[in-house]
Amino acid sequence: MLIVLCRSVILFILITASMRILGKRQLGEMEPSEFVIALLISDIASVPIEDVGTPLLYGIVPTLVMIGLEFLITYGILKSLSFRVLLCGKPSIVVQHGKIVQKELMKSRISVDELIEELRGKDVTDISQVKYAILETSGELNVILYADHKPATVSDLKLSSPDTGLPIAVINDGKLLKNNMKIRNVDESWIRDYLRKKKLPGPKDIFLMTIDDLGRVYISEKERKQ
Amino acid sequence: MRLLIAGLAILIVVTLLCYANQVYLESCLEAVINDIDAVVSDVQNEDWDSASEKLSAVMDAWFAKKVYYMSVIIHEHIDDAEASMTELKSHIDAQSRSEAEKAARQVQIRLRQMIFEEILNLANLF
Repeated sequence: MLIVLCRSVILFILITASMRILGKRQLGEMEPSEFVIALLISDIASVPIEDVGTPLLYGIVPTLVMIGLEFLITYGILKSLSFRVLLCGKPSIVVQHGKIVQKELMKSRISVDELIEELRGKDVTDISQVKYAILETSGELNVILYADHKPATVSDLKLSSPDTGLPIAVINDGKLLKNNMKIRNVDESWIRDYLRKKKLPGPKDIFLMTIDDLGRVYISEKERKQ
Repeated sequence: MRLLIAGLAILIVVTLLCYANQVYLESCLEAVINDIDAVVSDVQNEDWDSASEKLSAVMDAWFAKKVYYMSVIIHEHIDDAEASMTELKSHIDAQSRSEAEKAARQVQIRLRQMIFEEILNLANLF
């Protein structure tokens, strides 16, 4: 069993290091250690399941080791910046003041085409409008435009717009959501009266009904079966 | 801090359990090997009744701990050891000295292999 334990630790370190070397683009949204945990645990767990001749403990022990290591790594990441940099890397600035930072792009192993594709995904077609494009440790590209290319906000236009807050569902697929009704200070009879006034069927035939902070109601009826 | 304590606690508990398992498994299997030695000595003296009796006791003790063995040893290795024990029993019943000695050696080799596979060393690690 000690062998299984040590093998788990060795594999964990090895695969984390590999993922770190492979770079951000391989990871999607996960940090390297999280990715390794997900990868290893699913694989480790599958062995005793597939092979009944393998004791279940051969799957349980490594999984517990992974969880223990993940706790320690999370603690290290939270407490030490240098540990975080070592394990997760640093964000890379791939576009700075409208210019592509080729060295960073090479380091991150991202081609210009991929960068342009990512920027298009953020509705940016002209790189000169980009003040900073940052490749985060999770692999996500964040784009900060120059102030004069940012989309205008209501405050930029010096207009006023009511804050509608969060619309909360009070009916979901014909079911009344009591907790949400309490939050919006409405009861079933209020909802039934409201629906009657709008000449709509009862709650059972409502697919979605939401009420926002201003009391504005959105209703979508259930589609009738033909 | 809670993360650190939880992480360390899990790793320490798992390590201790693994170590305890290795020590206990080794002592159990060593005991079986020693008992087989006693059987072999009876076989060499051609004391077949005593050999048969001792082997039955060994097998009973083995089956009493089988659940534990199955939870920590690859089942195929357990099956191999049991097959060798059954073979030894049949040779003792047939009073075939050389075959019984050979089968006893086979049982001991299989049990020593189980012990060896649990020992922490570079050969096993890689």
